[in-house]
Amino acid sequence: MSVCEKVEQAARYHDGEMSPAERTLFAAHLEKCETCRLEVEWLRRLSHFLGTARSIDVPARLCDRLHANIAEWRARAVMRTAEVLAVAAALALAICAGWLWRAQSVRESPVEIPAWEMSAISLRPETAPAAPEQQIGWWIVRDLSAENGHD
Amino acid sequence: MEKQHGRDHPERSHLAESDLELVRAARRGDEVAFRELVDRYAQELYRVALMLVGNAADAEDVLQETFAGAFRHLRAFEERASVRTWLTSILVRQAARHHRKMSRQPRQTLEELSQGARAILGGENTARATNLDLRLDVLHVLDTLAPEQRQVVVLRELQGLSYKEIAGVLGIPIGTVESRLFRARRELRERLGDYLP
Repeated sequence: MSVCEKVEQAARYHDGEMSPAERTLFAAHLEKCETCRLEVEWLRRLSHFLGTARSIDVPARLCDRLHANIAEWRARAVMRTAEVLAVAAALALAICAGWLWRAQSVRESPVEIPAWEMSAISLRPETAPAAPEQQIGWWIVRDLSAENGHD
Repeated sequence: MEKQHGRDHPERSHLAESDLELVRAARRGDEVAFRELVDRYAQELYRVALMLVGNAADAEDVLQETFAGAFRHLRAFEERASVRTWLTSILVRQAARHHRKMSRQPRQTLEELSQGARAILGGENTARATNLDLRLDVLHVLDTLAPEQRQVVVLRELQGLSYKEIAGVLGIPIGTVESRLFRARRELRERLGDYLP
């Protein structure tokens, strides 16, 4: 039997994948080409043979089990949603807690003490500091420690 | 009067609804709608599963995983393909995963075919087309193919999907579907040739 270059098109013809125009052309080709005619015939027989598997029935108990499982799948889906929500809530809580902690630590950080106050608590009363802003502290300390001759 | 639905669920009827309406109802939490989908597709998907994995026990597992996966991903269904194609593509993925897990190799030899199979393949007009031996023969014959060839043959011959639909299910170009189908059929012809009259 000679090989026809169009024999690979037989599958598209058999499977109904040709346009109406292609189909007409190939049908005309089949009239005169035995190779392609035998190929189409073989494909038809093969389809018939494989198609006998369509008579296989699904076991009845399998359908019952599938029905019974739907409730379980639904429960699992609800649980999964709950898990996702729980993780999201935990994440939100963690972010809020972190933000609060940060805000709190900023509030508790020591307030900067003015220079005159530092001078007031650190300078000895006998010596007058040279810097004007430190002299204010020195005067206050001297007044408070009653070394200025007043009560 | 409301029609009784499915097997044991007279509470609501979804019989007249389209597949898409059933999916939408199931998304809203309607379990009865999903049961109707199961009833509509369990039969044909079971056959496809059986042809892809080769035995009843594994086919049942694959079918269960298919519907469980469809239920989990109801919201992911984009309604671009038909529900049938969507379920088939989930099934094919589950079967492929199962195949990888079992790492089964295609059988190299074909057992003796039944008389019915020989008659059909030999071109005889026969009504003996639905006996058990014949169905086992189909299983054995498909078992000789590589998984990717078996997929296209089953989707074409059993599910009757078009090349475009097969391409969508498998996520491959139409040209690849055509060439795989061509090679698979050539392979089958070689293997079956020895057993024909």
